[in-house]
Amino acid sequence: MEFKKKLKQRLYIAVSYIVIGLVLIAADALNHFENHYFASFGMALIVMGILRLIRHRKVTKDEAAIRRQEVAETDERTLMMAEKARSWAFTYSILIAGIAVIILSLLGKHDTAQPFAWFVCGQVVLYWICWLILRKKY
Amino acid sequence: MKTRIRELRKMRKLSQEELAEAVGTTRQTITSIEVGKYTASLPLAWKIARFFGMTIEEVFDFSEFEE
Repeated sequence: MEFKKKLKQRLYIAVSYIVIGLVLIAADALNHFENHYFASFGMALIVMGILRLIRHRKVTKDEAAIRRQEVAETDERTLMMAEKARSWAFTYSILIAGIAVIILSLLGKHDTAQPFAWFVCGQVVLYWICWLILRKKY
Repeated sequence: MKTRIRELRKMRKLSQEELAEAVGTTRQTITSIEVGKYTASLPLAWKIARFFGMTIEEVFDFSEFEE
């Protein structure tokens, strides 16, 4: 039941993408902006919305398909892998940015190194905030 | 972690797909548990054990945690 609600929400999101895309294209056409940023963005949203609708239709074909999708999305091993992948991505992004700071500093490119240094600091601060929240929660 | 899932499944002539469907997981998860690459969570272990009409200790081997 909960999953069906989730699927319905996804359907609404897909329709919203299409509507927002159409609004952006209309705004672009009516205002004659210099570059067609709004129209391109709107078109991208429409394509995303249509793809989501196709996927939604495929997933909600019948009860068995819905059940299969629910199992695939809530499977504990899949969730564990997704969490591990996020954790690895976070760790490696900090590591790579840290190495970039050191290399760029050694090369004397301090201006380029600075955003990377801020990024590392931001990530570490965010990590500790998340850790404190989780410690309180569990 | 060692388990008796494959043995119990074979005894009942069940496929991994059928067991996965019965306990609400994927075939890949059952495969990983059977070969010891993944350790099932407590709720899933309970579901698997209950499916075979056994206790968790009868299906999963906890000897490696004994001191």
